Amino acid sequence: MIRKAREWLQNKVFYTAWLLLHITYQLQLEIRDFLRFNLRYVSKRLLSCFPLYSQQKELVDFVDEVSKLPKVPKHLAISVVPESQESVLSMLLNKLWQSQTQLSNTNSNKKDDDLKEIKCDGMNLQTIAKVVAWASAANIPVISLYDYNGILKTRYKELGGYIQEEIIQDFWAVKKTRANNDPPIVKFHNVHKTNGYTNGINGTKALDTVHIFVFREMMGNPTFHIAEAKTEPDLLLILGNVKSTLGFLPWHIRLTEIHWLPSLKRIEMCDFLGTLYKYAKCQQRFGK
Amino acid sequence: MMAASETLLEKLFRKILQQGSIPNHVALILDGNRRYARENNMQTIEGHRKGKNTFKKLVNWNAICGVKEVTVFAFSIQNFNRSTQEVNDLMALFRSTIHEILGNKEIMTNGRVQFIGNWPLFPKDLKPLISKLMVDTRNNTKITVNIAFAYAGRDEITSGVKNLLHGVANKALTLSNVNEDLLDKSLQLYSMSPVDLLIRTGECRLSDFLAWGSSDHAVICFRDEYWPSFTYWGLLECVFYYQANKFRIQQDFQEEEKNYQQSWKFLSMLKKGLWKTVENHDERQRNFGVQ
Repeated sequence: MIRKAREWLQNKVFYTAWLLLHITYQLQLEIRDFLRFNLRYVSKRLLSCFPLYSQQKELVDFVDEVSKLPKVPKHLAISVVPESQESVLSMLLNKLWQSQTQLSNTNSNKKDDDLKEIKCDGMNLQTIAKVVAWASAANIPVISLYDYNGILKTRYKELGGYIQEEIIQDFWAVKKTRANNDPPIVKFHNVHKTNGYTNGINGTKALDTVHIFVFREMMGNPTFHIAEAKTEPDLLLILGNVKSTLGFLPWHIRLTEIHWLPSLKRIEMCDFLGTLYKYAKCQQRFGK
Repeated sequence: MMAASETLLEKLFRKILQQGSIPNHVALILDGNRRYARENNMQTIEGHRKGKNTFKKLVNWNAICGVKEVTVFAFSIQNFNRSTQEVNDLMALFRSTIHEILGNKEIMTNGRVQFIGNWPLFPKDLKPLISKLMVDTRNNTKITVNIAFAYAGRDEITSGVKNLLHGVANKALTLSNVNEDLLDKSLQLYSMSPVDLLIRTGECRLSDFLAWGSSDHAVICFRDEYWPSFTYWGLLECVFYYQANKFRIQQDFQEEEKNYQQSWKFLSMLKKGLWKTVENHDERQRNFGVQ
């Protein structure tokens, strides 16, 4: 009896310790990301008071730094984690919010539906476009975009528009420093339920069957072309705190460097540059 | 399994972690032996020996934590491109390790050992030893240890696909039978459960390891230290990491599972209803004397 009681108490104590450990860990992750992002934001705002600082200069410095790197990926893959999934705390809040909306009035108006859609997607297309523009500024010729739910592929036109805007905005800032003015090839992977397994079964190297847009220089009307690019990603960046490839084409990432970046809402150019530094340092031995 | 020596703090942390879910299948890429040897002014083979010692402890650590399956990337097909001297030294090391395992009563009675990889590429003198180990441990169930030897992920998928193609060519299968599940089960002697946690020391890439098995929902943990320096604490940290990330990853798969179960529930109710209609119709026919 006493032994059972002792075991019961021991289990309770261990369970409480386990819970506290995980809650503390998640909280410190959130706080660390929050502080890092906001400190950078505040310092940028302060710097913008000075006449010599500008976002364009930041971009030019970024391009300068990248040009000094010994190697840059030829094919960059970006896997986007929905904001709703990156933090356990936000997932719990999201669940509560969804259960609330189910309990409340079901006859919502269109505005509420749009809001719901945005919250369910949890992806800021403008930020994704920024990341693609940075990759383009870094002279990365091929960029693959992926998300497990296939949202990016279904919203590729909207995303294409944002990418176009970002590249035009950055064009004159990077034109002088970049040797190659060719626009990037952007590839979209995946539709929901058609994950890497099914692609493998279909025997496709999925690269051959994906729509690709080539953005032409903004001299005249932009044209979209379907083109093919048969390379495997050199670097896979996962935007979010989910430590998994989440089904990204398993056949194609055998030699790909995998790194994680902060989530969409907190990613900065310096984070992206940091990953390029890490990639430049890595050594491929190919088993030898 | 052999009782590994745990310090009090390690035991406490392990007991706390065991309140949450422990990964069922842990995969490890044992990388960094040569770099470890270089940094510690040792010969390359010494680095590999240190790596072997860490591997022996690893299986015990996993058994203590409650992991049911462990897969290690011991030697890839591309490793055959190393210098002849190094390859010969490594083969000699594998030979001695297999002899040690064969002589270890505890492993031989509790652990199931499976070698995964391209069997024709295995050295001829190692094949009898590997066969003996696999046959003698085939019925053990406590823990499964898969050793990836002469292995590459693409090679594994290709050979699985070839097996299915032969089946279709020999009319043992039709094309409609071919699906993910069948391919998954055709890859190895014993089907491996999906990888829950993949650990790699030294680098940040998968190097063609378990491309199929780790694709969907494995938590990936890249460690900075080299394999010989990997410790029990490192494993416990990775398990903690797995628990912290599992919830996020599993969310999507739980949604899929829920939808799948919902569809099946609907279908079985629909079919029940349809059968009832058919049976009712049949009863009415009998009541009116129509057969």
